[in-house]
Amino acid sequence: MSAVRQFNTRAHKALADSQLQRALAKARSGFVDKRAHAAASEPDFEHMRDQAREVRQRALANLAMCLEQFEQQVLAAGGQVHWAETPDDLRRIVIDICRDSGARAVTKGKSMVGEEAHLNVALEAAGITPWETDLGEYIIQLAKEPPSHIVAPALHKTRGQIEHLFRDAHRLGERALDEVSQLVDEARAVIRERFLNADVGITGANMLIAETGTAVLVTNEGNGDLTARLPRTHIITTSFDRVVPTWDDASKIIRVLARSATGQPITSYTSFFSGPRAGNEQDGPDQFHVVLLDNHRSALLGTEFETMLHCIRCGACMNHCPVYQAVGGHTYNAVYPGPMGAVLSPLLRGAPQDDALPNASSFCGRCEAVCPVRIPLPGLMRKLREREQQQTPAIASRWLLRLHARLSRHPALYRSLTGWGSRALALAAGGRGRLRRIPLLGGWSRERDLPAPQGGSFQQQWQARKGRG
Amino acid sequence: MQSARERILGRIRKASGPGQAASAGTADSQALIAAQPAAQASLRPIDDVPAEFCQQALAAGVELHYCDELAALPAACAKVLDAQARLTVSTAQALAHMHWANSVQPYVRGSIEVGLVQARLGIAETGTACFDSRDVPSGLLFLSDILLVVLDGRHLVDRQESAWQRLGPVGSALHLVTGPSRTADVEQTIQVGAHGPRRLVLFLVGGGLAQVVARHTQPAPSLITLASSP
Amino acid sequence: MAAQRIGLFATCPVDLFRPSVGFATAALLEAAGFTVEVPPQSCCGQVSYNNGLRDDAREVAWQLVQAFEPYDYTVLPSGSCAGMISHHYPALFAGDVRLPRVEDFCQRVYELTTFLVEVAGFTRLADNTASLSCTYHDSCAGLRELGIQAQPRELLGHCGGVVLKEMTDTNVCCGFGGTFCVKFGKVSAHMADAKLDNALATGADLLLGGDVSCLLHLAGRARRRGLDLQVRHIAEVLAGALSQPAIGEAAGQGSGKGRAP
Ligand code: SF4
Repeated sequence: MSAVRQFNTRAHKALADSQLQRALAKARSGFVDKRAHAAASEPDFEHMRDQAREVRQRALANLAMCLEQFEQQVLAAGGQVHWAETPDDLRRIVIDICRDSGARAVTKGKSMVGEEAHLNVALEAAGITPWETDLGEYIIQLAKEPPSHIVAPALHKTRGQIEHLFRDAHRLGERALDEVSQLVDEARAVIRERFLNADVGITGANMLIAETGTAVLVTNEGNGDLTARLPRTHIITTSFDRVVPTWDDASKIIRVLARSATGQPITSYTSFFSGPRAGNEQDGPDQFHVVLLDNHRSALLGTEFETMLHCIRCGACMNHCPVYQAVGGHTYNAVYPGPMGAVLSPLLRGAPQDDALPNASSFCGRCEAVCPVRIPLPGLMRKLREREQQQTPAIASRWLLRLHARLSRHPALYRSLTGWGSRALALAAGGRGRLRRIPLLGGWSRERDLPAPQGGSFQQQWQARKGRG
Repeated sequence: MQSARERILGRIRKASGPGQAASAGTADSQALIAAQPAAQASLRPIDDVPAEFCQQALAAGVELHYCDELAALPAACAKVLDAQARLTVSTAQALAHMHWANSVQPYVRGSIEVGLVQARLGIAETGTACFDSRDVPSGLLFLSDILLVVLDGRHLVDRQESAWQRLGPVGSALHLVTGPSRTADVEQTIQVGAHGPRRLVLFLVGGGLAQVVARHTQPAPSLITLASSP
Repeated sequence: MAAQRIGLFATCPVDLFRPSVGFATAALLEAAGFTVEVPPQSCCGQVSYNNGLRDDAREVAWQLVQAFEPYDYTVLPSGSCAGMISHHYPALFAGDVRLPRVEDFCQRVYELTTFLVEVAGFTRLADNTASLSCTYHDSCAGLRELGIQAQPRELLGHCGGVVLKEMTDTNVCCGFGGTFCVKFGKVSAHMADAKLDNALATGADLLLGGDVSCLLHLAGRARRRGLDLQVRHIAEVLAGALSQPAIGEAAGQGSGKGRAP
């Protein structure tokens, strides 16, 4: 089955899923309104976006140097840096560290790189229990599903579905779980025990600061901090492109991150981790590991897709995407959904020419309009479409497109053909104003009528009128 | 055989960019990666730092109080605290050695009713309190149901960049805390008290900020009751 | 002084499906004091461009540039095609010797409502005797590439009889998206439905827009659903050219709303 058809199969299921549609409807206006309010109430917001983009550009332009400096500083602080070329490497590195720490259970903060590597599956296979601590991640772990959004992983779940998951997993008896607050308290109590008992904590990082070898973690729940600071070992799974040169640079990213994601000026918690705890510190890990994943990212540097590495994972593009809002994240069948995923996921899968995702966009441009670092997402999707055209065998639809282009280069010929076509279609409509079924245009007419032409093309009619006049 | 590190860095260096070839750690490379184009003008100045701090902190859900000097703090705390509430403190902080109306215990890991901590700095642009892991154990900030934060009114800065300057080197963790813990993971409904504090009560101490705080906290905040008490 | 000459680029969907929009455009421009000509024309190249056929797009673009560069201005009743030209042509010709000519041309290309407001300063618009209850859909490319939002509303404000009722999410995509609407038909229809439902909720009789392509999609979907909502291009209302049935309507069909009596 073609990639587009597979996408459509999932999309049709999503459109028919009333629970999913309910959940998506809840999310839709919330994210959009909150970001709009945050942008409107900060006079410097556009300037902040420019500053953030400049940081990302400068970081990538000096990437090797930033990374070497980051590594040196982590080592100097008593931590370790590991380099993973593939998701498989990352899994192996993490499991080795867990084994060395004698870990039976690990707490986990949200890490998209961890998702990229399907870390939980690997941990379980190695006999290590992963405990997700971000509420959204916890919910989808219970549901045995991947995240559907990079910031709100359980966005596709309704309150009722979450209640069911909790009732199945926790011994609840008759306790009520009708209110959102009760659901949150329930998870809090269960996960609190886990924070106190985990041997290893695994988190992602929103940024890495080169000048001091510091990992920055941004959360609203505080789960990331408890994951990072209570166990004996802290493992950070991230990708090397998260690096920024300085603390001041990190501030510039922080300013646009939460505003774009949730409309907050800053998240409740923004934490800076630099190495294991010092002797006189009561909390903090004894071991501090940073695992840097490549997974095809280095191949994007210096190419037309380099700007994709500017992404700060705020999720604004998917929050504002009408396609994402219609079908949800799982339809993309990729770790990264939505507009940024439509570019990044094919590139990380390594065979972008066979992917439906760059085509699954109406190019409405809303993603680019809200992206805090101004990544030209539709432009990048278009470039992926160009690759597809260059690298895959031509199918009927492409011959049609090419034929159209050929004709278009000869306006006089084009004019006579459209004149003829316009008449023919008008005739076929037979005064009904529209056509319900059109040969060769099933893609159109399955969902909508085709308004009938008014009879004769504009160019023909214009010529005729001018001729008369 | 090359290591993964060398292969990854090799690929990165091969891609163009002025800094890819230079080696890290030199003064040159430091300057290069921190150098910003002149067009990157700074953000608009924050004229009234305390007022901005109060406004932003309140917007983030912080409960704000003021007292003139540290000696007045126990009385101020007693006024807003339930008499049975037990305070947990960091022994590394001077607060641990003051005389409190409520019972006080040193921090050990576990669930905590009321954590009492002193922040190093406040950042006005977001109403944020900064904690250095050398003087406040991370767990105390995140395991407390209610977090009482003491912040010197003279330790307020406008923006993060100024905070980094003022702070200098910090411990293995620096925590920026802005309001209580929260989540929106259930149907995008904001719920406070996800994993960390359900309430964040901040005492600004000194700096002559009585009027600023009063102006921003009308009507007067109510008595704090423990979430767990009936 | 001789009147300035405008090359009217009707765009493919107008040429093929909706000549009345081309005539309404010409009428408005002539009323604003310009001489309007319609040189032989085809496509702006967007179809090729968005489907990854960059080289094809460039050559289609080049015939358009050559055909229209003699005019003082080129005006289109479409934000999408105007955005393609002024936004994407320069990038398409980057590194090409023809770039200076392309850039010079692009600076003189305007979407209709922008041209009427910002260049022509034209306000003597149709005075419809019947009251027209309208809602306006901001098509994506026009809105985000060219900043078309205030202009059509300002013009409608000068138009007699028009009552504008804004819908929610007026700036959200209708789901057309070129070949997207065929490749991802159901998703596209779902997006159209959201748009149509928002339009209906305003109580307006007439859904207006600035791009016939989006409107063909919306009208086609509205007809398929049997909705009581008429769809028209804004130029027809501005020019008072409502004698033709609304898009997808047969003559004498429908509720009669949105048509001149
Ligand atoms: S592409 Fe832009 S909007 Fe989307 S997640 Fe990345 S930074 Fe945010």
